[in-house]
Parts: sequence; C-alpha cells; structure tokens
Amino acid sequence: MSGLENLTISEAAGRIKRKEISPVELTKALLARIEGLEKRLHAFIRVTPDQALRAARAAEKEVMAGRWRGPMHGIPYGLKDIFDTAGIPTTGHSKVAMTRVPKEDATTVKRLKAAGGVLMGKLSTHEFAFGGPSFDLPWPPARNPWDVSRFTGGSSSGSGAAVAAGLVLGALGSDTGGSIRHPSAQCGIAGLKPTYGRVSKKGVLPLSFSLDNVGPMAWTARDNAILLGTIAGYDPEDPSTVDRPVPNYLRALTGNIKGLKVGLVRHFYDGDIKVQEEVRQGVETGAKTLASLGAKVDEVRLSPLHDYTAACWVILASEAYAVHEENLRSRLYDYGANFRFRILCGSLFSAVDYVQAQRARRALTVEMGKMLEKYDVLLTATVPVTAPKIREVTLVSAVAARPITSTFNTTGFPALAMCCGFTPAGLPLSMTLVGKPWDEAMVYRVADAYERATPWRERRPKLRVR
Amino acid sequence: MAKRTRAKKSEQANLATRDEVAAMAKRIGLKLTRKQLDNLYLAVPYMAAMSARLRRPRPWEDDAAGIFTFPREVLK
Repeated sequence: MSGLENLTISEAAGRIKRKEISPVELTKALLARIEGLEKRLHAFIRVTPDQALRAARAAEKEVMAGRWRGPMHGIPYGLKDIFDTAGIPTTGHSKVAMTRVPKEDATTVKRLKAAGGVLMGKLSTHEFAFGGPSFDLPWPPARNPWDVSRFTGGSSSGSGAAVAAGLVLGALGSDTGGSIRHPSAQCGIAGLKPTYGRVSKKGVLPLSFSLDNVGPMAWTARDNAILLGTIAGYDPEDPSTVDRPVPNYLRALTGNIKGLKVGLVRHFYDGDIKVQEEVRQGVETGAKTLASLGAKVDEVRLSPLHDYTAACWVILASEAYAVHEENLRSRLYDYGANFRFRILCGSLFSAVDYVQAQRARRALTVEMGKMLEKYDVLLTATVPVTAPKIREVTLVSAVAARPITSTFNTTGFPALAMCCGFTPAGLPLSMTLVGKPWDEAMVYRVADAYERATPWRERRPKLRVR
Repeated sequence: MAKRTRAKKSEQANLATRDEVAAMAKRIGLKLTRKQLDNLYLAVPYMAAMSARLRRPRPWEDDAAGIFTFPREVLK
C-alpha cells in the first residue's frame, strides 16, 4: 500500500496544502483500498468512485491554482447512509427506503462540499440508526477491522469500520443513545456527540427528535475537531440548532491541561454496572495519565446510571415509534427483525411514561450541569465490554443493556469517545470525556493532550488488502 | 404446595400481561404475529423497570417543558 491510508486528516491537509500529495492520488489510493477490503468489512452500502474522483480533481485544480479552502479540501470522507445526498440513494440500510433518492443534500453534506471534501460513498448503519447487527436486511452488517468476526458497535457501524480501516479519513455519524460513541469505542477511534443543537440535522433521517445528534468520527481528536469545525453552526432550516458562535477548535489544542479539573464518574462503570475488567483498567489508567499531565482528578457522584438510561430509553423508544408509526402499521415486515423488536418496545410506554421521562431528564440535566460548574470535564467509560463476536449479539441484549453513552443524550452535553488502550487480544478500549454545553473545545483540548501523551494512535488494524 | 401456587399466580400474571401487550398493540393499529408478540413480551420486564424508575416525587421545577424551547417561528 501507499501508506496514504494511514494519514490523519490533519497530516493529509498539510501535505495537500503544500502540494506534496494530490487529492486525486489520495482518493485513488483509498478507492483501491476499499476495493481490496470491502468484501470482508462491508463498511459501505454504496461506494461513489465517479463522484469522488470528480470532487478530487476539482480540489486538485483549485489547490494547484493557490485556492486552498481549508483542512477538509481534498479529504476523502464517508457518510452514514441516513444523510441525504442529492441524486445518491439514502436508504437507512433498510428495505423500507431502498429506492429513496433525495433531491437535496443534508446541511452537513453541503458544508462538507463547500469545504472541498471528497465524498467516497454511503456507509452501513443499523437499520434507520436503531437495531442491529442485522442479517436480514438488503445489505450485510459492517465488520470490525480489528477482528472481522466481531461487532463494530452501532448504529454508525460503517462509519466506525471505514475510519478504523483507513478507507476514509473521517466520517459523519448520528447519535441518539450512543450511536457515534459505541462504534467509535469498539473500532478504536475518536467519535463526538456534540452539544444538542450544535450541528444541523436537516436532511438526516430522524430517529428520536429530542435525542438525535449529528457528529464526526475520525482517527484522532484533532481530526474530529476539524470535522466539527466544518459542519457545526446554526442552520435556519433546523429549528433545533442554536445560533451561537462556533470557535476555532484547533486553537484549543495546546497540549497543556495543567490545572484543569477532571471529575471521574467511577460509579457509572464500577458500581452501577460492572464492566469488563480490562475496560475498567483502561479508564483508571486514562485518569492517571491525565493526572500525570497536570490535571486534578477527583472522583464524583451523580445519580445512578440507570436513572439516566431509563429516561433516555423511554424518550427514544416513544419518539422513534412516532417517527415510524405509519410504516409500522402498513409494512411492519419490511423492517428487519432487530429493528422491529426494538421499535415495538415504544408501544409499551404510555404518554405518562414519556412525560415522566422528560421531567426526569430536566432534573438530571440540571444535576450534571451543576457538576460541570465545578469541573472542566467529566471522565467515564464509554462501553462496558470490548467488541463481542457479531453472531453473539442478541435481540434482548439491546433492551437489557444500560448504555453509559445514553447518559449524555439525556442531558444533551458534548461527549467524546476516544481510544485509551488495547486488550492483550488487540481489541480497542475506550473512555469518554464530557464537557459543558457548547464547550466541545475543552473536550478536544483534554483529548488531544491525552493522545499526544500516549502511543495508541500509532497502532492500526492489521488488514491484508486482497 | 406454596411453590406451585406462586408459580400459578406468576403464570396468571404473565398471561394478563401478554393480553395487555396484545391489546396495546391492537389499539395502536399493529398487526403482530404470535412470534412477534412473544418477542415483544420478552421486553416487558425491562420496559416496566424503566417506567417504574422514573416515578418518584419531583419538585414542580422538574417540568417537562423545561427541556424545550419555543419554535423559532414564534420567537420572530
């Protein structure tokens, strides 16, 4: 291989700007890699080589003419297949929307195009971002590049797999209860659920209106910050976005976290639930590393994890049911079994349950907000276990789980999942940094300092291209 | 004997819940197969536990409206 697949967005952007590599050369290298790996990874639903090469040639021409647009110019990226793309099918990985071809790009896609990004294709997802892995859909589920017999996590499964495998340098995902952070954790990359209202959802297939977020997935926190800086900001066409300035996130990446206060929410992963020992150790070691960099780490207590997750599940299942209600009545069996199982849980909740969940949500949001008045970031585990075998993920496990990730959908605060080591078997471990509303910059600052101080970003999945 | 009575009561409770699940599905217009209803029934204890967890005395400030804002059209 050319080695270009191991470039970060930041490195590739520098080399493109300096005219050391061409966006066309980079795009061709990644298209060849996709060709060689896709039969095993199933990260894509649809690769778009013609569009990608057109965009890459246009970027090359502009750069050569001295019109460099910024760090996404000429950078290959992918989109979870719930982001509308004009003229390219957007299916939600479902038979229900198999023939759906949007006329317009999602706002985030427009912004990536305006920045000169090169769309490589549409990525696998759990059906409509809910329920999976599934083997009864028109396309197979994505596989984990660290071990293709294992689950990627979801629902932004293809986004996690494609970034980790070096098929794209960055991707967009969506996150309603952890759908960016779960695959980011299992695939060993950096995935951010931004503050609710930070990124437009216009043109993105909804799952749960008041919990859905769009966010970036990339190899490093720095790359993630580049993507967020490109897509974030008020959108008059999305009433859930908030008109607040978007800072230059890269300026926050000083590498210095001396004196910052970190609240370690240990009881979320060692008390309320018991996580895999290697996961626990990964977070504890992560906390020690932050302390060694000069941060002050204190253990803190919030309400029990189950309070947060219960509120999230009741809201999510109820709103998702409302989104799909018409199709559930008329074509229930066009959905896969996994999605059907999860979405029908929404029928078990009453309107009173939903209202109580929203009341609980408000109280929990205030509680976490007060905690973050005392701390710059909170730290906890991302997921309780490393990637399981894909065939061992059961229907009931989805509703029985108490995902730590959903805590931050309940409150709407920004949360970044990042790699914090590997098991002896070579599977990624992940920890989560949580910031104050709108303070993604602080989350990136801490994450970037951690990445600089640890060797984890040097290690890539061993994949032989056939 | 007591064990058998408890098992019978539990079975009746289960049957009642199965009926409730079927009735709820019917009320919202779903046509579910027996297998689908069985699957849904598997989720009942988990969903019930979540609902129960949310119910507790709360101050009036814990107002569901507190997490929403006015539609932008209204604020113009």
